[in-house]
Amino acid sequence: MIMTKEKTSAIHLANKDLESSPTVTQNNEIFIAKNFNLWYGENHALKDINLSFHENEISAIIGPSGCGKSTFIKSLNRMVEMVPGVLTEGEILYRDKNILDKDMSVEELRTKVGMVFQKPNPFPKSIYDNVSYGPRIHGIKDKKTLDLIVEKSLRQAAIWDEVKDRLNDNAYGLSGGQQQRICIARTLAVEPDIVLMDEPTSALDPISTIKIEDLMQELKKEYSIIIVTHNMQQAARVSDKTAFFYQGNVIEFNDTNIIFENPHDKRTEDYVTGRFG
Amino acid sequence: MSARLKFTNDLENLRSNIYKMSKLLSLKFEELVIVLEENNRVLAQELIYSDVDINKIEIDINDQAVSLITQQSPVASDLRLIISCIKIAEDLERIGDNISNIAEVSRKTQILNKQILLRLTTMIRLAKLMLDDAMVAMKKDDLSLVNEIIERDQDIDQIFVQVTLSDIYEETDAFVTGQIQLTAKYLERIGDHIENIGEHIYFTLTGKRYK
Repeated sequence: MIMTKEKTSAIHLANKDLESSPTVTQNNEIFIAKNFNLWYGENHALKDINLSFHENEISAIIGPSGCGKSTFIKSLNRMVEMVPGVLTEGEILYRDKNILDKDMSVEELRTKVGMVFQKPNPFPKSIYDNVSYGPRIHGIKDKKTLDLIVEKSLRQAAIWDEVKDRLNDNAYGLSGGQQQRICIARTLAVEPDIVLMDEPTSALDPISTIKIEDLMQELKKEYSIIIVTHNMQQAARVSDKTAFFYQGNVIEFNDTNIIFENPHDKRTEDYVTGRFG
Repeated sequence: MSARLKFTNDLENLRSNIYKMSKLLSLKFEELVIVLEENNRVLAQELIYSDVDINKIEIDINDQAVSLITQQSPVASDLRLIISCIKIAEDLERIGDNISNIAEVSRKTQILNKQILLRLTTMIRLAKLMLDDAMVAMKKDDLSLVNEIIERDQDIDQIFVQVTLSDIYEETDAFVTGQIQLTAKYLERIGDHIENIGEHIYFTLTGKRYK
């Protein structure tokens, strides 16, 4: 990938700490936030965010409630615009294209940038219909093609063996952990580039949580994942990079092992060790 | 009590057990000087018996550390402190063993050569000062003192070389010579353990290995 001068400086801004660390390997950037600001009316919720996320990596965003982490992740697929009175400034580049530009198609963006939410939210339809919903609205009508997509997506979401004999059952009849994996399969069915996860396991039991975490490790071979989590052990276990948000600022963005073993900023140290507040 | 406050108190208890263990060893160093200078075999015997007290605190520290790791899932400086306390306790326990070994030697042998005796007791006094300072550095998070302590092990090593290689020997008794060499070696090992403790404190404070 050819880097422009401008882009190199943006990476430098975002990764000052990373560049000094010899252990860091840099894949291609998928998202680069440049001086990104966001206001909810008068409330300045995100302040000069400079971050870059890389291909085939899991990036975790941690921080106390109200720090702006969910707002930021929802900015990456422009879902945040659904909130009335939102104003943004700066750039978020997705593969070199500023997603905040007026000519950016939100539908196209959300196809490439899928999202999994805190609570499993399958449609009140069959498992098959849930997964084939996306491809269908993208115009795929052929049953055989849809069958293949459904099977591939369910396999990728590590739930095929559990549901292959009851694809026509209602997805509501599945357990919470299974429903969440159906939602992941539904996201994968439209072949996204990036999967955003907003606290994907906080409503799940420990066994289902481990299954989703294992799944994330498999998925990162093909996709890039950005996850917001309140569970710091989870961030430490699954992610390659971690960003710590506090009061709308990125305090530290670094290799996950540095964040949890020897963070550079005292505020990060205070947060991960639970000394905050 | 908030969960974090309880955790902070538990970490303080863990630290204070290290200080307690170190204090006991510091007293043992003073007694060891008396044992050697006065050939006090009763005190030597007491030193050997009381090693169990040191061992017991090491077990307590390990148990505390395991509980804290289980209950608190510590990270960053908290985790480094707990891991370092486990390792410091192990080094302190080994220092206790070496003190017992020297006491054991003293029960069997009287060192009459004044020059040798002076060098051995100097090694003990240097070790005591190093250990005392290591605990000060741990209490005050004093990184420059930690660096100094680690370097001071060389002083003990130099005396060890003097004792083992120099021509100050007038001993003709091979057994006594052997026991003197053993004592010097035990003291040299004690210096190494205190150097290790310095390195563990360095890791706790900085998150980096001492180079």
